[in-house]
Amino acid sequence: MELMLKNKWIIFLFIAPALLIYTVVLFIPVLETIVTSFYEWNMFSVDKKFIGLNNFIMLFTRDSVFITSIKNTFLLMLMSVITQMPVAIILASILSTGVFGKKIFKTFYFVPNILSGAAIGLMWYFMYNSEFGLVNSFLKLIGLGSITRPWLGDENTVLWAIILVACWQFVGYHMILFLSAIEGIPDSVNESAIIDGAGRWRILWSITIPLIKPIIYVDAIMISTNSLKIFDLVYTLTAGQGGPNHASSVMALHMFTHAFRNYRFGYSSSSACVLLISCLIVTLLVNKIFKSESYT
Amino acid sequence: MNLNALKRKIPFNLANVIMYTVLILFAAFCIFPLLWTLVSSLKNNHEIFESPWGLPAVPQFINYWNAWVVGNIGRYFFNSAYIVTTAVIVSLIASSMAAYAIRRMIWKLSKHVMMFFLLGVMIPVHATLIPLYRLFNSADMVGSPVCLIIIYTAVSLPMSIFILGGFFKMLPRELEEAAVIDGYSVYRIFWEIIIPLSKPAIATVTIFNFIGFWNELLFALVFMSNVNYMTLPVGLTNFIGRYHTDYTGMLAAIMLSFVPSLLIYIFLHENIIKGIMSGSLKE
Repeated sequence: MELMLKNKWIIFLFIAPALLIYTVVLFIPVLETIVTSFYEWNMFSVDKKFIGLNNFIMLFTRDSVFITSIKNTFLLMLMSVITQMPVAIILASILSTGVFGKKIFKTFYFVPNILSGAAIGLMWYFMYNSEFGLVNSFLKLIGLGSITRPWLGDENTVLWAIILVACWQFVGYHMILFLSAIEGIPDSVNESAIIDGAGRWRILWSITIPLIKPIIYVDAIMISTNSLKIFDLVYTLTAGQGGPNHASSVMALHMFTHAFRNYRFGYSSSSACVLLISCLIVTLLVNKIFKSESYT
Repeated sequence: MNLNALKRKIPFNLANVIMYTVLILFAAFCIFPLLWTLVSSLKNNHEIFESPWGLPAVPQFINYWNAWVVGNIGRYFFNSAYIVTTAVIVSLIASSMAAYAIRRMIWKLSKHVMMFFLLGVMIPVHATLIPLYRLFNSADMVGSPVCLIIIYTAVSLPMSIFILGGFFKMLPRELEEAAVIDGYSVYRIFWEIIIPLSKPAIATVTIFNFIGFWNELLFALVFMSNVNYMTLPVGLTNFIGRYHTDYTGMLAAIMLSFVPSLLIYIFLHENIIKGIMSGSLKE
């Protein structure tokens, strides 16, 4: 049997398809993107010109849309963490106390997460419609009719409108993660805390949260890297334009626009590189924040 | 455990009121947009403006017909189904074979190859978009569903191999030993023993891949922009920005695109939620 399991040909045969597809489609293109970012390359021309760091310099000094995109992307990431994680943790902790209807709530909260970003974006596009949309109708209903406005058409509100939709789409997912983590805490811990006279908030803050730190760490990485990559919602909510005057453009959209609308492959590759580097930096940062705490 | 919850009476105190209010409010926040879209999709274009909160006088099912035929949603549906199903199957075959080789076969580089695959989880796929476009463009394949099938498969490989590998690792060695004594070849062991035993992991991987592929936008937008071959998400983006006034038709299109995901969710939500929860425990 040993010989059979060590048979090099069979191993190769089993590994080959996955390895080939993965390397050619994922691994090598990333390297290519990095290389291409140092060139000036129009999609239609055969020759490309090596221009070193020029693309990057242009990105950061001449391209105001890019600066806006970076700003928006990081703002979105920050706001996603701030709006999604605490809500998810609170909901999960409430659900973990064995409330009535837990399964139904769980099911409802997770529904937005299985829908496509495109469909969600289109749906909220209509919900934000200033005449018949649900958002403005709701505001009028509760007496806040004075603050109704074209949420997606106003430079100042469009990014926040998108942040709300992202919250809608993803909180359920984080909640499920935290719920499983919280339910992994043994009952005895909570019981002794109650015996010691701790109230609910105290338990949540001083016991539950520290105990689920590993999951918070994983979730933080997930939220940050996923929000850096956000595209679907922004594209569909802003009709591919990135908002009025590009006010809500994000990095992925910037790359997409310059690659497939302006046909500048070199330039958009450098945009993609910045995205890549941002993901790395953010992951390292989150690592630093979490791992710097020593476990006694 | 739940029966006890039903039997005991819920004390009517401030804490409970607050808790349930929070839960219910958020549930409403999650569900209401979907309800609104559903109800609005059955109105006609006047009722949408005149009675945003009311129910339609007569449910306009014709909106759905319009979306399916005139709005081409039916065709996009078929395109998505074809591409996604094929990609899920190809991914399943490639990843299960690779996971088996890595976890059950004995060779020196197995751990390194696993790490190599896991690196893929960290790669933002956006960084591969442009070179891939060049690659498929030079082969004149842009616009062919094969592009997306290959790309989706590749993107799903790291996670799939990880999940399947984790499952394979836990299967007892005795399986292979007994099979060898009975004269099984590796191929037979793989297909007739390992795979049938791995149904839970295969189910998880299949569901997640299906949902992920079905909902994908960026690559589909780039590679399938031909009106006849678009996938569903791309088809939906056609509705924006252009001068369209059939709002109810577009709302019906949105509801239609929700259907497959919702169906999968209704029947398989236990699996989905279990899959995520077990994934978090592994971390």
